[in-house]
Amino acid sequence: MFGNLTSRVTTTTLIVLATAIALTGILNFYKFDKTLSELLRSRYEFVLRDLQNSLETAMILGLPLADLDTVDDLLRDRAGRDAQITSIEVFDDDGVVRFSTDSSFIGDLAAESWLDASRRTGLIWSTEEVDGNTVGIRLTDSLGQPVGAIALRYSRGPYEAALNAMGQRLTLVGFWVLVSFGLIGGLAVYWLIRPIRARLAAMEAGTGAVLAGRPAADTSVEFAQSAHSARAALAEIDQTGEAIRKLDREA
Amino acid sequence: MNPSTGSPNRQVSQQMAQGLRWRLMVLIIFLLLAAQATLSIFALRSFEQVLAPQVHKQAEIIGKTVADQIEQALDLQIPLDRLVGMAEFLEAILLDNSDIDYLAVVNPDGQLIFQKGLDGDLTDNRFFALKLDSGAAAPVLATTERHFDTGVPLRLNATTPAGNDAPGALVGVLHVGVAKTFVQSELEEILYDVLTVLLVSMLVTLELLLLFVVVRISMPIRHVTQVMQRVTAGDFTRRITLRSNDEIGRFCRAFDQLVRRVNEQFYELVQEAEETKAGQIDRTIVQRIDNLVEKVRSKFQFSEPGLERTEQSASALRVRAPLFLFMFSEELSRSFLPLYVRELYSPIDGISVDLVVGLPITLFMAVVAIMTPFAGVWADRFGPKRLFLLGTIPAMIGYLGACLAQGLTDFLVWRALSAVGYGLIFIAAQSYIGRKTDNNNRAQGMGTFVGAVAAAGICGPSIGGILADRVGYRATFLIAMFLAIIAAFVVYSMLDEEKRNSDKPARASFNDVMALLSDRTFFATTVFAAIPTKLLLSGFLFYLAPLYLFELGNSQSAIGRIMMVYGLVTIALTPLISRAADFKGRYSLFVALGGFVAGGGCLAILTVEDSWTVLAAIALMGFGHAAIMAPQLAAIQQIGASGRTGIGQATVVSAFRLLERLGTILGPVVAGILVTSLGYQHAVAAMGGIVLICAILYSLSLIRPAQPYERRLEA
Repeated sequence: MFGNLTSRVTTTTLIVLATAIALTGILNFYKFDKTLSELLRSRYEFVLRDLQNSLETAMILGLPLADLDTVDDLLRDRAGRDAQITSIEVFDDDGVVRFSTDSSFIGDLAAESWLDASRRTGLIWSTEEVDGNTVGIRLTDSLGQPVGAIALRYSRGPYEAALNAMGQRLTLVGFWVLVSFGLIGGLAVYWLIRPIRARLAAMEAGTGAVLAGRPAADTSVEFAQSAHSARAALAEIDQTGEAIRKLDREA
Repeated sequence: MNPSTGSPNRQVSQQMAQGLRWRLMVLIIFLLLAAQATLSIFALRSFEQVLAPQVHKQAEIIGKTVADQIEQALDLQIPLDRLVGMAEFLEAILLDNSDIDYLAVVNPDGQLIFQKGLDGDLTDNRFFALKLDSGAAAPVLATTERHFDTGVPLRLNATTPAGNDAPGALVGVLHVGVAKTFVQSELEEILYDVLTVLLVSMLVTLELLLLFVVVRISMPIRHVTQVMQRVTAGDFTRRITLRSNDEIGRFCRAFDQLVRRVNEQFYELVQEAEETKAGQIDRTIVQRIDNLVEKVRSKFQFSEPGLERTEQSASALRVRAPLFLFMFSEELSRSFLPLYVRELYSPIDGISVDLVVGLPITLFMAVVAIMTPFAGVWADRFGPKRLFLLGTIPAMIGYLGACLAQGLTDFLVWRALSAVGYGLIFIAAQSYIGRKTDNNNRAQGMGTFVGAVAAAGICGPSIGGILADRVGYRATFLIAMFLAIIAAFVVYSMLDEEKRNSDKPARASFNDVMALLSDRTFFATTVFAAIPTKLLLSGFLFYLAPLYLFELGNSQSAIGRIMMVYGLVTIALTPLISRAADFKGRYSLFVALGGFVAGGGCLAILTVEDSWTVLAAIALMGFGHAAIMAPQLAAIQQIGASGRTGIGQATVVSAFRLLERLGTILGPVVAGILVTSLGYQHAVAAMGGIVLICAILYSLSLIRPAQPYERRLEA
């Protein structure tokens, strides 16, 4: 495979091309990942801000979080607007779920990771779980005291499917780009190297011709001179041998 | 040699290899550009296809939520056109959602009532004439020249006081606009990364082509030409051995066979002559036979088959690719090392975080300095190839350890191990070049070394930054480890085994160093130019720049790109400035100028606190260092050449290199102390100030009359 100059230069070219294509593909893939995840995140952050606004407005009159009405309906309405939202929960400062789109969660304790994230980070937090992602927002009362948080869970399935599909698509496109430009490169390298190959092949044939005692066709000055010298040496040796044999016969 | 044809040695190799490298380079650049552009265009189209529905969904959800709030106001019997604070309300939503271009509310006839984010030319755009079907419940998507527009119906949930609008009546439409170029503008963010990849690919291509064309084409042809020249002159004592199986290898073997045939025929003749002589009684015939053989021998030179001398086709360039790969692996972490250390940092009593963050760089440089003399001895004992391979072992373990590091302490151990490897490989490569070159081409050989290190200095930080952004710091160290493995593999397959070197390398003793420091020029060049140069390099570029740029909000990729500018400027300007310095012959002038430019550039950071100023400071530092590095070495070599210190040139350079490393070691420590009390901006400026003061002192040392060293010696 690597028996000639063309294949060696082509291989080098292909390695460089493949590395550059792979790096560009990876850059594009990561950018897609970042753009898509930021789009989703900003969408759910918007929903959360809207819910936070509604709930905190309702608490302005001094009503405790647990006593707010129509919250479940509001949560179900917002969750219904996006099929990727799997649930929305509102939990109080003790971590007890007060409202949820899934009534079976009410009264349960919120996930430890949510409580941690809610206490550690600023206004908006996010966590990653096995079955999906969660974004959350802190709730404060009219005095600015934390009273709990809203957590919105959304499925990672469509996101991961889109990511996989994009990964496959970029790989396929990258492969075809490599094949196409590799072919063009290979042909161009063949064309560029051809004169050198032809010259070397002629010199190789010329050397073979000198060895076989035939005239050498290559016209390059250096080769012609050295071939002439080798031919002259061989001729001189032959003539000397002949002269020695003649002397032997004469004797 | 035929005078009419010029140097045959040059002619054949040049005819064959000249231009090929550049033609191949142009071809590969074209292929790289075209391939990356094609891939990026396909990626853009794919992104638009997948992201467009997500963007519409986003607009729809935002539209519905905003519409809900407007409808709540409408349900309070406030007519749509009399709602107050709408502009502020819409503006707040736009601020929170940068992907939305505009929000507009129109009445059922398409007349604009409120808007935020619309350009003047869009205000009266006809798309608002698009009316929703009065019965439409769901948002409607429309496309304008520049936007995707989502129209969300605004409906009444209660009866108006006048009773003319029933519940559910359409009272207006909320338009949410997303720019069609949203995906495109998102992708523009990676344009610089793609360009960086292109630049690095070109540099790597240049490295590979240089290696390929020189090692595989130019060098073998040059050697076969040398053999051909000898053959032309009747000398058949040389052979060429080339293992490659390509056209050059085949021609070399064929030509070699020709040389061997001539030698074999001659020795057959000699044997025949001996046998013939043995059967002769007549002394005159014996004498005539001897004369005949001698006549051939006098015309041509032969050697006994199997005892011919071999022309070697080894080149110092062979070390360039593995050296580049290894240096590249080390430079990968350049743009994020201090940031990674800060992540691993746990408080140490009495030492500020800024000082601790610089520790791994200081330790690394110190270990490299300590390893250098040992590496020199080992290079002599084991040979450069073995030493290179040996060096990759601690380097690889160091990278793996850095990837898995749990805290600062073990990270320091791993970095020290990497430094051991770095020190060994640094010297192994220099030693290999030293053995493959002679006085005629040693400078060219060192150019190979400097070129590989400089190219790695450009590619490493930029690609390292991109990788760190995408796969994280730890994984980038893992990639560095794999690159070091590849470098070891290339060394194993490409470098020749070298015999033990009997030459004693020049090393500076303590007395030599002290004697040299009493030479005014040596002292000034070392203390006021070389040490501050290295101090600024490790203190500012390696330590402060990544941290400061990160604080200024740059991504890891951007930090890498900005740091890459130093290498670019240095590599572009060094040959030009060196040529100018050689032409003028005033090396010290350039050294002083370099100090002023580098120091002034860092001081200028006080003007505006942004990334562009840091970039300018790095570029000016590169300019300054390009002006300093070659001229200062020339000035030092002049000291050795003048013989005024009584110390050999190699020892003078060795002492200079040793002292210069002090700056590299101290850089992060000084920077750490400065940043603790002054903050990043002022710390950089202070370092610039130090360099400026040194440049002034250096300039003064040039003006002040010299006390002749010879006179002191006599005293």
